[in-house]
Amino acid sequence: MPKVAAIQLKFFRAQSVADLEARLVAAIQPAVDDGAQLVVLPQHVGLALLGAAGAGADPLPVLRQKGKALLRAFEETGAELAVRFKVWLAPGSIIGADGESLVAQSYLFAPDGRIAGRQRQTHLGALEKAWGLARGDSLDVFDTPLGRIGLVLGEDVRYPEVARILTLQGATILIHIAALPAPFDEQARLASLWREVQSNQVFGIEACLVGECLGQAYAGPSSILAPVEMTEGGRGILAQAVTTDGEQAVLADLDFDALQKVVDGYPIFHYFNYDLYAREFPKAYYASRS
Amino acid sequence: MTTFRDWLTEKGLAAMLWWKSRPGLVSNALAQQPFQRAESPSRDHVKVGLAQMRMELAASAADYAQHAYRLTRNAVERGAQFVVFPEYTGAPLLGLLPGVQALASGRSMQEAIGELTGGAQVSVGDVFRAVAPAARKIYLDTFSTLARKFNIHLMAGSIVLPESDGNLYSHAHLFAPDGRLIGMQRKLHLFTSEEGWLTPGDELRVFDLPFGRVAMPICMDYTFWETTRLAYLRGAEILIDPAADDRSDNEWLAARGVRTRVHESPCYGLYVFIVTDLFGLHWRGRSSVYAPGANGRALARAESDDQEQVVVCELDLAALRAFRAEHAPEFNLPLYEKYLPRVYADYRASEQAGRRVLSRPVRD
Repeated sequence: MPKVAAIQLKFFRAQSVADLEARLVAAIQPAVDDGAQLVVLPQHVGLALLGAAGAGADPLPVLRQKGKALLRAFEETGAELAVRFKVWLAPGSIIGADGESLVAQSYLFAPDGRIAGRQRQTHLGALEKAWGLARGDSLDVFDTPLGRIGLVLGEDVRYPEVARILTLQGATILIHIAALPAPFDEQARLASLWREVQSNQVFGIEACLVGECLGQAYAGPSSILAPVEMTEGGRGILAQAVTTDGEQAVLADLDFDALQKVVDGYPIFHYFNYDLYAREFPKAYYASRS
Repeated sequence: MTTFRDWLTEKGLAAMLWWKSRPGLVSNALAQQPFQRAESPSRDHVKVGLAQMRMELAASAADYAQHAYRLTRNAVERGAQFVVFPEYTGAPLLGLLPGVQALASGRSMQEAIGELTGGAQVSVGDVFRAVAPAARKIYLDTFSTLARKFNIHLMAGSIVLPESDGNLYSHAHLFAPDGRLIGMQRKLHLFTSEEGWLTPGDELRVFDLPFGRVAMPICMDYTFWETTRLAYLRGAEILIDPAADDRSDNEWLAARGVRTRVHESPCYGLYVFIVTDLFGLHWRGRSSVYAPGANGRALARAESDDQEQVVVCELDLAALRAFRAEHAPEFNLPLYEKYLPRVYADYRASEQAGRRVLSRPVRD
């Protein structure tokens, strides 16, 4: 059974790339010591490098000027961490530059340090729109020995289209690289990755940023999720951080036999109304633009 | 080959059901009841009443009409202008069939049917089909009369009926304050226990009412975000979820319905349950009203999950419209165009004899 970890991390401004790496080593080490084979970090982790890049209160000029270098430094850090710990690593996300465009990007690194997958955010939040980020135009899944993985970055979790596209391509583990607004609200959290895990009958790993970042307060708890039928107390949670504002590694084993039983007993995808979707969605989406 | 005895039995049943649903029974049953006429709603505000109904078999049209009357009256006396009923509100009319009343407790529907028919190969669908001519008349007459006499819009919940193509569908019905039937919605996604005898519909409809645009897909339809997204894209503001659920005593299971859907497709959500212990079923649920931006909490909620109760709540459509203007989803249409048609088609082709086989980790 694969053991996975969501790392709940407080936002910080790194003084250097080495400083970022040292902080992440300290955060990841306990999870690896407990046997994690896949480790997930939160959204905006790479923005810690804004400190090293000398960004002030408005980081936009630095992002525009040094965005490519930031992206490269974050990728190198992710690769080094994956190799160091010999784990599959989703090191969170960064905003960087690709050509003339700013983009929000997350990664999946293999234990040998290669980039197994990149995922750009495909729907933008208010700040990302204000900064003029370009949204991603692809949603791909990544095969690993632990299962087929789909990355859901930030705001993308609000759009059920994203999780459906990923799970219909066979993803059985959805990773949400998350920064969810504080304070924590259990009811509102049902509208995050929890909903997509239930709708698509897959595992979910939600790693949350906590603390202040770019003028916004964020809170956990980070969690590892599964369909309610296979979780204790029927809540859909395999493991969850005990704190909403502190740092913690959350670990759980993913029981794929149990997941397959849930799908066989209640085969949601079997009941798709394909013809309705094919006939109605194109015109409904495009009509919504006018 | 049909024997004389079969013919006689069939004609006898048809005659009996005709007699039990003959014209005038519903109006006579309600003739002596007082009706308080509801005030008409404004464009921006409507008070809704959720009739959490306990499914009990009705021995007669009068029983059925009076039961629906009591719930509707309760809602209207508390100010409701739009009353909604749950899924399977037509099912109590199975009580019109001879022998069903005696078999309804403590066994499954299929076992009860087996006992009733002496082990003949009769399906649940056959039973609904048999009672349909009478049930259709009583159901439509009851809810049309209630809508007209209380001066309300009324969503009557759903009833299983055959259509001209010979198939059985679950239909929700919508009535205007003058008693006219102004809308129908077939269930679009079946539940596991309905597969084989019900047929899913192929059209989602949105209805313009004086206070807002309403969609009324049924129960399992809300397991699929596709349903509510389509309704939202077509302008729906109020999503009615007529539900029957044997697992809704688990709050987290019940949260998989309209409750979470209103956050991705911002609408009001009316979650209205039928509850029962008939035929070995244990349908439970606390009828609730949900809104986007309310942190997932119910604006109003039934206290009991197994008793009859009416929940009344005012909907502020002006506030909803303002919320939607500020928080409208911004779709990535090129992304959907690139992927959605292909991934549905690929998945459809890949299902192995109807089974979704998950990709698995590589074992050590």
